[in-house]
Amino acid sequence: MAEDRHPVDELLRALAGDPQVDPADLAHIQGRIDAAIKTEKKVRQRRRPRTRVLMWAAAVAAVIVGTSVILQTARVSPAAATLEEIARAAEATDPLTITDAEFLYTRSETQARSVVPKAGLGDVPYERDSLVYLLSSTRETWFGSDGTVQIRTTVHDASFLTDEDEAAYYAAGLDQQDNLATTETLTVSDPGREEWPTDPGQLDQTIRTRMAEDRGLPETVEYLAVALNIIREVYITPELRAATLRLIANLDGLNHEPTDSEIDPAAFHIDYTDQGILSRFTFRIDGQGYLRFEERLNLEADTRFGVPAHTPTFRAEYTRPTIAGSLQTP
Amino acid sequence: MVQDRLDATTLSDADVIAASSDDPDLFRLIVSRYGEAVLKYAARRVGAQDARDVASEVFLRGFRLRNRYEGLRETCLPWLYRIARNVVGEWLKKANRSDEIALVLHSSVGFEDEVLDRVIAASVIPELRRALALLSEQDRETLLLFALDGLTYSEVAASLGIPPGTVGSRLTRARNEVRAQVPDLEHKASLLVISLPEGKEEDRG
Repeated sequence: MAEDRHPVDELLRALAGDPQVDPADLAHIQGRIDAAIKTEKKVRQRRRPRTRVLMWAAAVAAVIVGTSVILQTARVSPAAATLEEIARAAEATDPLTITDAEFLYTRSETQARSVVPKAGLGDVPYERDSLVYLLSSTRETWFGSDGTVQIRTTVHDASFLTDEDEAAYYAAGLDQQDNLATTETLTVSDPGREEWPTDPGQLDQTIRTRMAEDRGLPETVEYLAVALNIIREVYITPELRAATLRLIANLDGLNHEPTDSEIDPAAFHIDYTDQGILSRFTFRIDGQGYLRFEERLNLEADTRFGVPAHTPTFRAEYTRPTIAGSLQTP
Repeated sequence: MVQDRLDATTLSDADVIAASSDDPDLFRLIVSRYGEAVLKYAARRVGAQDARDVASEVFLRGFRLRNRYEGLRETCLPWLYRIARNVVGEWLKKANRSDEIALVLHSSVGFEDEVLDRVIAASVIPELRRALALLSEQDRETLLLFALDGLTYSEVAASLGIPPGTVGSRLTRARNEVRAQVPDLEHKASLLVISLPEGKEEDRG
């Protein structure tokens, strides 16, 4: 095949020139790669002891049952393997890009538990110490190419554990405070998007600096809360999405819940204790690495508030981001 | 291990990348082999000032994506350029320059002492830039990868994920369209390339 010269090529080469390479720039790149290599080795070392224990246990089991199959499956947890698979898919996904006339649109349907102490009910007679209810809302977000964000929140209704709770809620005028059945739109100009590093070590450190320390929750739960915040309803690169998923995959106690489809969306949970109540943090990630669902609920009855077992504290479903041509609901 | 590393220098890029999955240090070889090429690619697209950051990001992404490498066996440069295209695109977007063509053209490179050359270059740059803007993105990329970045037909094809035969047709179309938009292109090119450093006109293929 003739790969010929051409005046157009020559003109381009003449005007683009032959950039000089500074050895210091090469050294800088090599330094960045060295740092990434070092981080990867550290992550591998951190994983190794756990892997060894698992493999030792698996080896014992293999001797007992006379098979080596378990040895092959004990190396990576199903949750970590699934998240790695999704992270790879996320990385391979083209970034969503918008023109000046377009917006990145996300939508979530949320139920959040509210707890109002008896004192907050004013003169309304009420037997328990606190009134507990779930507030449902829809949030829509439009990200503009110039950095502006429009957030439209519609509060729908409240749901209650008992008729008495519902009567007290309305009698105390909490429906007015919660703005039930109303929609509010807020536009934030150039809010300054948060810059998260994609280097695993740096991202890990940044997440740790953002973790709440005063809620009495286990570190894994606080870590997961911050990590999900990175990929929740925000405009980020596929690389950052993948890096975040890989860090989540490292969390101790992370379980994979088999679903009809192994990947889309895959469900995971961590069980933990919140003020003595056994609780569960569940989330689902779709095949492109988008957070599609999360839920925190108490697995046991919470006698402090008379809340039965398996009542959510927070529950949200998210749509996959789409490109919208206007600031109207698509 | 030292012996392994020495032997690795003779391996193809694909083998080095595969081996770096277990021994990440080996990826340093890829940086040694292509650091200069990627830096030059970046300098041509975003300018010398930002080239280092762009090139660093290209190799960091390559390092993270290495387990999924499915590029050419002998050279991974087309794969690195593919990553580089994405990084440059994001860089332009971040700089609010998404509507610009990522290409730095100089009126004073290689012919600093020739006043006439500078005048010709200064006059032809806007014409060339306009002509490139009229090309489809695929045709423009094909032309730039071949003409500027020194890839062969098969390497351009690997970088863009298209059949090698398509490279030829895209290249022909791109050149014809540019030629149609830049008056007296051959003459201007011939005046300018005389002053280029020796070896610049070396053929490939």
